[in-house]
Amino acid sequence: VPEPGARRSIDIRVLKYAAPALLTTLACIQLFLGLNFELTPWKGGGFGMFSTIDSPSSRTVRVYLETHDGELPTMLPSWLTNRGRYARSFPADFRIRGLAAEMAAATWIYREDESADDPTAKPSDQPDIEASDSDQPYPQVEASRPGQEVDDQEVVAVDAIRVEVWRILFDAETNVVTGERIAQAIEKVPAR
Amino acid sequence: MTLLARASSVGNRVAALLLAGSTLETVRMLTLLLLLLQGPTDWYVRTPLILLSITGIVIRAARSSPAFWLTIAMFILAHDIVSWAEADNHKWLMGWWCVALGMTALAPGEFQLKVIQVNARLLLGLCFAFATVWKLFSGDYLDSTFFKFELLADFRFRDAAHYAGGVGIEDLKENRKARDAFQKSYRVDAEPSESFTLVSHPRIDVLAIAMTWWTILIEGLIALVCLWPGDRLIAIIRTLVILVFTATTYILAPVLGFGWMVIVLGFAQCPEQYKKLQASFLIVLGLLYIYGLKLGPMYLKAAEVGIDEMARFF
Repeated sequence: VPEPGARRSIDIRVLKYAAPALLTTLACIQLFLGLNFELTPWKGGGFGMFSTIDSPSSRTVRVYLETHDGELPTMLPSWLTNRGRYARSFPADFRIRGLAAEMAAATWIYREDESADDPTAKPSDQPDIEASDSDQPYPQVEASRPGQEVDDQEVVAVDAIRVEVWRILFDAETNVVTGERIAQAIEKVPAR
Repeated sequence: MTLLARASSVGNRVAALLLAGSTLETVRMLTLLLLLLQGPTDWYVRTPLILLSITGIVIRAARSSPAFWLTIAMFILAHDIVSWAEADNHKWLMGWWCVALGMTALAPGEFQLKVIQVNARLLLGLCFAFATVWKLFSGDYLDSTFFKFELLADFRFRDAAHYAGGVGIEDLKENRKARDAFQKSYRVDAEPSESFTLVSHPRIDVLAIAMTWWTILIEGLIALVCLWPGDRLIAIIRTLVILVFTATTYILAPVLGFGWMVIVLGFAQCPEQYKKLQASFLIVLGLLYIYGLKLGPMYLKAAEVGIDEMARFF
């Protein structure tokens, strides 16, 4: 006896195969993107988890400010964290270019650091602080969202932003872990 | 009464107790519990899912409605699309499964069980087929590099690496710290570290090889038997293979959400007349929680002697 609401008008084959067809379509797209555009096999609905060490947690997004005085490594601004995660899992060219463009539109300022008289001081100038013991790079800089007021004295003169995505490689013979850059984008900062 | 007959009698009583309702009803209730306990955690989908799951558990008419399941599917798939590059694969499977439950509710009553069984069988088969394809395409899976790295540097495999692989807990902690420091140096240092070396043990190589080939064998087998149509002998083989997979895999890889999802699908595809096999899925579900209590290492320790023997052989 059909349950209330059951409809005979829908072909039973549609009911049997719609969900598997949707899964297959997405998984094929994910397979294509994974094999051709560095999408991590672990994500994207293609069931490539536990097939490679190249998971999102084995990838890192690295950001540099290119200035007249050299390169300053820094971290993604907090408002770009989600886009950064996306770029890490799927570092397609348009995606990391977009990320770099967002950061190029921001104003970069030196962070206030009470322990240092000179905000541009390098780690070697501050014996108590080693770069690897801190979550923040030195010299510490941070982004100020476009349109947000900043003190002109503190602004970093940035020529360009470079965004890189790295992944871990593991040599099972020697047990040595190394890094490999898989994507990079450079975005010039417009003159202000 | 022989021991076998006594066990059979107990098995029948357990099966009768656990499976008082129809297969479809049990599948719906298991899915609602899964959504309640293991669903997506982002607030914009968590809250509606909790409300919908409780509604479905309490109101039978709701859980028999196509609109109910398609609404749940919409929330889960919206979450998966928004976090496309971050969502776990079992969250996608959860979404497709809720679409399948919606399709089932749309079918005439006499076809509903068949529709849900076919959907469960195909979703499982496809999921494991793609998982196997990825392992074959991967550059670091077949040579067991993947499992060796995971055992040495992923905290989820710490117990397996220690008890079965022979690596000291302190060494594993150092491996983990070295990995974190290495990745952090890429985020924050002007000149990041070039490399570091993981501490290992000869048994790890054997364990990694065993895990590599066991996983690809069992996953490939699940794909094969699930995509192969049939309701009789093949259905029993299919069910047994899924049970072996769920009962063994999650000792080492405690991924409860995916394990639960596989159990729901395995239960749903199992022909209704095999009540004891259906009940076995519920027992394995209980096992997953026991594995989560870290009792797994106890069994691994027991297997250590056997692995030592294998290591000598290689």
